[in-house]
Amino acid sequence: MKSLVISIFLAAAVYALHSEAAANESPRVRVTGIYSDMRSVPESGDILGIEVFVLLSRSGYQVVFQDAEGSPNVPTIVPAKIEKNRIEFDLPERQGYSGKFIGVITNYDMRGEFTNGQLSSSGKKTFILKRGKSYWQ
Amino acid sequence: MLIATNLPGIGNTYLDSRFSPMVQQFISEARTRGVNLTFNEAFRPPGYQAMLRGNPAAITPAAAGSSLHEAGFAVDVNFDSLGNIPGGMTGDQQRQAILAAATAAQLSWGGQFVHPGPDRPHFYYDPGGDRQALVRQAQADYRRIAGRQ
Repeated sequence: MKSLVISIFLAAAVYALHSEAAANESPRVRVTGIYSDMRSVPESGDILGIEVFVLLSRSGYQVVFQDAEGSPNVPTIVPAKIEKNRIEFDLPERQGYSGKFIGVITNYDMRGEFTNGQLSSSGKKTFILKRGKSYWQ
Repeated sequence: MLIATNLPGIGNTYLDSRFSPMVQQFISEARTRGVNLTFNEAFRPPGYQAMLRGNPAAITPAAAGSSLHEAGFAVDVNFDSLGNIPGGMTGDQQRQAILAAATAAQLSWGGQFVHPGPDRPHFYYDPGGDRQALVRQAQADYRRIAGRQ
């Protein structure tokens, strides 16, 4: 029993180290693209979620950000700080999501959190934004 | 009957005359609990729901003519975007206060929708009866009121 517990603990530790290493290394991840968890609710007709469009400009990386809490908000454009596959951007005070978002980009999605207690449309602290098409495409 | 009203966040809009006092109580109850509600959506005029529905790539929002927004019986507020206020309430505390205020105002919460998932900013009152008839009446009221302005 004791050896089983130790084995599980070691496996978890190795997995955690591997995950941390994966986040820290510099994989060939294309950071530009569209990341979204935007969805609609048939019962109410509402649109919920956020979309992050990461693109490059002559002033560096930029984010076009749109959120929806019932109806889609006016998008905002802010500079993004990107180091390897980590992204950070800061939204101005406005009606809707604002403040600092920190995330990690993979080939499949962007996962991250706002640092001030804002939640995803499913009520979770961690936002999982799938890479792919915009809700609007 | 649809009536004109003014809500923080969206300004002039319309609600059903039975629902409007409930929303005012919602605002008042939330304020008592330390939260100033900000609204994102209330009545959806003719054509707007169809426009939201007009994205064929998406899971289809409510078919035009079936949403309580179109009948003036639903509102959406800032909810998950509420963050921690330095020296004040946390985002979670504000959300709890809003839910308590909604209960006090006898509103139902879209956060309890099951399929395809919760609609947490959505608060409503369903008067029952024929939903499409409610919508038709509200849209006719809107055309009459808007035509007078």
